[in-house]
Amino acid sequence: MEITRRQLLKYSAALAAASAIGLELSLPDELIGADADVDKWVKGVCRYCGAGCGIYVGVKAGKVVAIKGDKDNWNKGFLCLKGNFLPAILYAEDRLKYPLLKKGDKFIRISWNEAMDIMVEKFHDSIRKNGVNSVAFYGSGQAYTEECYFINKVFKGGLGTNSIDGNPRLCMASAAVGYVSTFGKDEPMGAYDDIYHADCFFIIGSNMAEAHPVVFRIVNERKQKGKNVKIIMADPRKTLSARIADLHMSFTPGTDLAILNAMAYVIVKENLHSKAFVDKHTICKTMVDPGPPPKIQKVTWDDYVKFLDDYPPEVAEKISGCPKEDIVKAARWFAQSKATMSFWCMGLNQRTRGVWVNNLVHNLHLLTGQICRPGATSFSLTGQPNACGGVRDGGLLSHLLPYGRAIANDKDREEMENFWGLPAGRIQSKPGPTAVEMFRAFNTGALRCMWIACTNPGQSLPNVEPYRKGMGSDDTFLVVSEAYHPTRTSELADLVLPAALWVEKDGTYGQSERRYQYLEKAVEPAGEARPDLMVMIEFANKLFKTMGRETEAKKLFSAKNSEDVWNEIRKCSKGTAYDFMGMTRARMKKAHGIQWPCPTEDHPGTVRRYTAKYDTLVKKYDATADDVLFYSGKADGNRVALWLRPHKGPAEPPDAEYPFALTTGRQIEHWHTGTMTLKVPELKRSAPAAYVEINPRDAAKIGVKSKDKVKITSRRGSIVLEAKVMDVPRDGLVFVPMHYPDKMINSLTNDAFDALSKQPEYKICAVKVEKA
Amino acid sequence: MNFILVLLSVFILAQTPGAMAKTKTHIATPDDQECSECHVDQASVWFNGKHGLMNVKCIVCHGSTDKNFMAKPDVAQCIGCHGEEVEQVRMKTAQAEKTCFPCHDHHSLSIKNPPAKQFHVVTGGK
Repeated sequence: MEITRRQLLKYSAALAAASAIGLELSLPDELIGADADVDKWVKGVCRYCGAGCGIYVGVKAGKVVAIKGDKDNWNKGFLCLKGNFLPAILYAEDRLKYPLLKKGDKFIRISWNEAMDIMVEKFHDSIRKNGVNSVAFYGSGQAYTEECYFINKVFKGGLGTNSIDGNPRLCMASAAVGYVSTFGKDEPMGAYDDIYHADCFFIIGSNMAEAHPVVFRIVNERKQKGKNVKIIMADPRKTLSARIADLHMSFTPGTDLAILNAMAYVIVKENLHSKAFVDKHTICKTMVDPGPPPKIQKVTWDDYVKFLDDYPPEVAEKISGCPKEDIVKAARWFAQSKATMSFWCMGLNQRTRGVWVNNLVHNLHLLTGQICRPGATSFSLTGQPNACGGVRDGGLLSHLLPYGRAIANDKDREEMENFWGLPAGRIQSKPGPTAVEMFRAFNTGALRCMWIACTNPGQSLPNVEPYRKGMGSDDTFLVVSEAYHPTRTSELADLVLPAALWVEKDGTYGQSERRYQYLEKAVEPAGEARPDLMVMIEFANKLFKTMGRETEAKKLFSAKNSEDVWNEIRKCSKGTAYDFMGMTRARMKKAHGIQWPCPTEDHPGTVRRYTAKYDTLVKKYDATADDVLFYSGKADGNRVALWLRPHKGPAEPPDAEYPFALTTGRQIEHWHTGTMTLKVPELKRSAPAAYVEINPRDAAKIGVKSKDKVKITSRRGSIVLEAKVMDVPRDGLVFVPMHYPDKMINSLTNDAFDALSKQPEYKICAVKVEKA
Repeated sequence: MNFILVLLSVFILAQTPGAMAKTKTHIATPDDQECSECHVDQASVWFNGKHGLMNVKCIVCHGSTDKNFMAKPDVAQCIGCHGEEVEQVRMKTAQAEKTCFPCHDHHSLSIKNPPAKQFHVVTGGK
């Protein structure tokens, strides 16, 4: 939207006149800051985390020069520390501006035509010699929804291979499988709006003050303005988030399953559960064989109560080190508040028991009926801006198809084959390799060609060093689409394609609370960079032409732009629990995000799912329903699962040889592998280098003080870092941020993964810590 | 009347942020030196104030210690989160007072000199 100087002057005059007579007038949002010397303000979404803050970027002479929060969006105009500096990421010195081909040890500049020809030839050659499962795509929760959907169609539908996965496997898979295994459908039922109604917050495995700062700001606002609002923070580190907590529950890393079962024990023994809610809406389940496929057995309420007998608070205290009084207090606050909202993030998801621990949080909400009411909800925070919208919802994981459909489900495959106009049986029935499995296959040569887009696994994979060897091998062909070069992944590539970044292209992001938002293109891409979607369209058409399937390609891959793909997505979601039919591109351009399901153009979007008052889909499943209806649990008579999930610790607990636990995570200044934030001078100055956080007692034991060099060693590697001695981690725990390419902590982390979600256990591994 | 208001607005808008910025060079510091190591009192007030609680760190207002450094931040630095309030400061205050700090304390951001009447609608938390 372009704002002229004349419009601005008119508004300025009106505001001044109003002020003179004591009136308070607001400027239209697009005019706020309009005198900050910009030509226009363009609406969009922040590029970083899954909170999904609405923004406007200020453009002057074709360049993004300013940013401000969108006051009409959920974030009420606020940005976090790094959001304030977003424009600088577009103009970093290492922006990649043309395609590069590796020749020997060097990269040489080539044309786009040459790049596409080489890529098509390599993929075609591999398919011809080794079959379709020899080529793979590794995507991202940062790509736009249209890009994710289109490339998923190319691989699963067009080529007929499920060798396609995305980096949300590393961050959100356990949350997704947790929602599906408990409720039957993925994604939270609640919204940020619940924060304004909650009287108790149970925050576990999340440092939201640094990882999701604007969500934290609203929680704090609720704490300040509400009456007797309680905040429980469960974390082995006493992070900045704990500053607003009424109760900080510290525990040995990996023992939270025992704590959550003990909270359930207290709730049941003290009769704080809602018998009516449990009887009407839940069914108890246990897993008798992990499979695959896992063998599930339905059990009785009495079986569940008997199971909980193993977890009285004193037993949980012995397992976890968390005082039993804290467990009892947390259970009572959780159950007795008017409305309790849970938040969690990677502390639960990046675990070998990630799905189970997600289930146990949901259990507490179901037991107490603290769900599907304003303020009462079980809410998973998301790490990337489009992990939900592009990858989870769009099905860009090796076991999924778009919009709630599964590869292993015959009916779902048939539905997608019909929708895409494919011959029966084109979509393979066996799920493809998941992220870690995919890179293992690249190491062994089972996969020959891989295309990585919009992500940096050469730094972000757990136990990364062995996988770097596969990526850099001369026996495989690696294509990397990136906005920057070199990254720790692009340096290993055979071909690097320059990608348009953020507001250099248009598309859709879907964030944590099911809010989909359209990002308008604001400026031209750097150099010869192109939107990944346009590269995908060209690649698909050229590859199929080379394979002699040009006619099929014309039908399958006829989209010309992101709007064409979005319109296909809307139709693909029609009739599903997602249903975007009402989210037309024209409507999305005006709106400050719309929450699905949104089946018609006059539908306002859905703040809360599974309850008749807020979710219009409820009546579709049961016209008589007037309250909660888990239509997602149709297979069990609209009942959802109360799981019997026993405590089990991490894959690699500390021992005599490696006596410390290592955990990794974020700093507020930086995001993921630092390819963007480490290019912003202010952020780099504020947080310039990796460090190890160690508490004063452990530091004294090994004889180090702040700024001393410390060597950390795991069974997979070692690293030397500067010490920050601070009373944040509990005894026996050290923390290292994940952002720094020159000090890759993932050389030490463990690639063991959850059997159900296949998400690796970044959060806990055993290390020894010595003065260097 | 309208013409006078337009002229007044033109005059106000002509005062660019750059003209008001009071910059000076920051001394060279080692990369791993944190602001709080020298600016102890300011860091303490900040940490216990609104921006400290929300981790709106020194760099948001003061920039980096290089050419982007700003000893006395211009009101333009606040647009990211407080666009509407900034606009009202620009429109409604005298030229010499076009910052947030006649009313707000520099580092706690609490209100130190309440205006005679409500100056702008508070959109944030308490």
